[in-house]
Amino acid sequence: MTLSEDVLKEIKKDHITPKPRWQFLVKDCCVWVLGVVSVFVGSLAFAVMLSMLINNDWDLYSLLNGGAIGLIIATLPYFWIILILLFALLIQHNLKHTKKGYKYSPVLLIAGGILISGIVGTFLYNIGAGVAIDDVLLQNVPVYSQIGNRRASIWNPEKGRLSGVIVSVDQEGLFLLEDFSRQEWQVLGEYTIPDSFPLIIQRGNKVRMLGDRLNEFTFEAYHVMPWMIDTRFQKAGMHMQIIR
Amino acid sequence: MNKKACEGKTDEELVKLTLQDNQYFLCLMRNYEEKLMRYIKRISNASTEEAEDVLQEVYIKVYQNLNDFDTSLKFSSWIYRITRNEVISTFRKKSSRPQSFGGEAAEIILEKMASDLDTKKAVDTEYLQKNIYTILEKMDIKYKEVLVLRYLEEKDYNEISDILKKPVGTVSTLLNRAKKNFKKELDKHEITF
Repeated sequence: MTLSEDVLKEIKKDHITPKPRWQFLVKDCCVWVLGVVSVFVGSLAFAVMLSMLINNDWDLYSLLNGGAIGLIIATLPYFWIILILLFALLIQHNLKHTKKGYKYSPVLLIAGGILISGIVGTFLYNIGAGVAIDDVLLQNVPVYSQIGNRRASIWNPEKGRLSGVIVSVDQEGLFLLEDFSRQEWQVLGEYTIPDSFPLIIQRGNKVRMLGDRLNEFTFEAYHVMPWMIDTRFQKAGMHMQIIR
Repeated sequence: MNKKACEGKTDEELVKLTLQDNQYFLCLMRNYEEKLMRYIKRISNASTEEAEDVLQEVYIKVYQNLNDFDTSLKFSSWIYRITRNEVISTFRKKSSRPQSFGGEAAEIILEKMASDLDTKKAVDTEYLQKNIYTILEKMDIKYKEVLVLRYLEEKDYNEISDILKKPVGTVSTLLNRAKKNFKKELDKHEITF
């Protein structure tokens, strides 16, 4: 008896049968679903990163220690960049395990993952998803301003820089502001609003300002600018309901 | 199942027939028994008994996974892939790696590689016969297996890509490196001796 005949005998004796096709289809579907989820999360990370890059203080780099390079080092969204790369690796891992995935080089798959995340992420940014996620995290995760969005931490009233959300405005244009650490400030002064950044001082708008801290709860503003450079997202996000 | 019933049928047709009647699986197994036994021995240096055990496992796995066979792939590439994975897994279980090729394999590789190597120096055949095993022994397993598939199993780049589940470009790079590696070892020996 040959080896082949032995094997067939064993198959019959042990009632071994081919696994049903649906099992393989389910497995393939799981790989694709995980791939799509990875693309989606990667895209959300890209949207937040884009939001942070666009809405950075590029206009004020000369006022900050270290100039433009210092600003880049201080505010580059490392956390989100790492997350994007991580999900690009996950996308690559999932695609590699599809039926034909091995035919493509890992570098190409990672680059493809980043490209898809970039395209979908840009769309998500435009519909406000990036800003909303950033807002939610700033609002609910205390360490986020240290690791995720480090921009808020460079706005230090001690150094004449204050940022936050307008809580109320009086008739003379003076207003109450709540900064990102929930500290409330009375803002005084005859401030100017640069022409390049259209801004209406009204309740709910996120602003940043240059000036002087007068005392623990009072700030004299010289220049007031919108917190968001992309003025479509000037209003505090729906999740940032600090005005009660 | 007599051999006549298997004649004139492609592997892919036999897969479909096997799913209806397992007797046809005998045709597939017979078609590959000799080739795969040789392949297992070449990449693992296993004894005939060990190779038979591995092949038996391979056939059972192939049968169980017949519904996963992708018809856009050659059946031979698929069965070689399963065999390679089984060899690796068997050796991993035994806490050892697949070893080098047998003597016959080394000689065939050398003969077939000679034209590709582009060696300007005349190589002493007698010297090579004495040292070929030492040279191959020093090569990484990833280079050895690609040499086996290309020069012994005579698979083209696409088939090797399907068997190893690596992009064609990677296969090509591996093969080039394997040849360079081999040539470097040759040169090293010529200088030493």
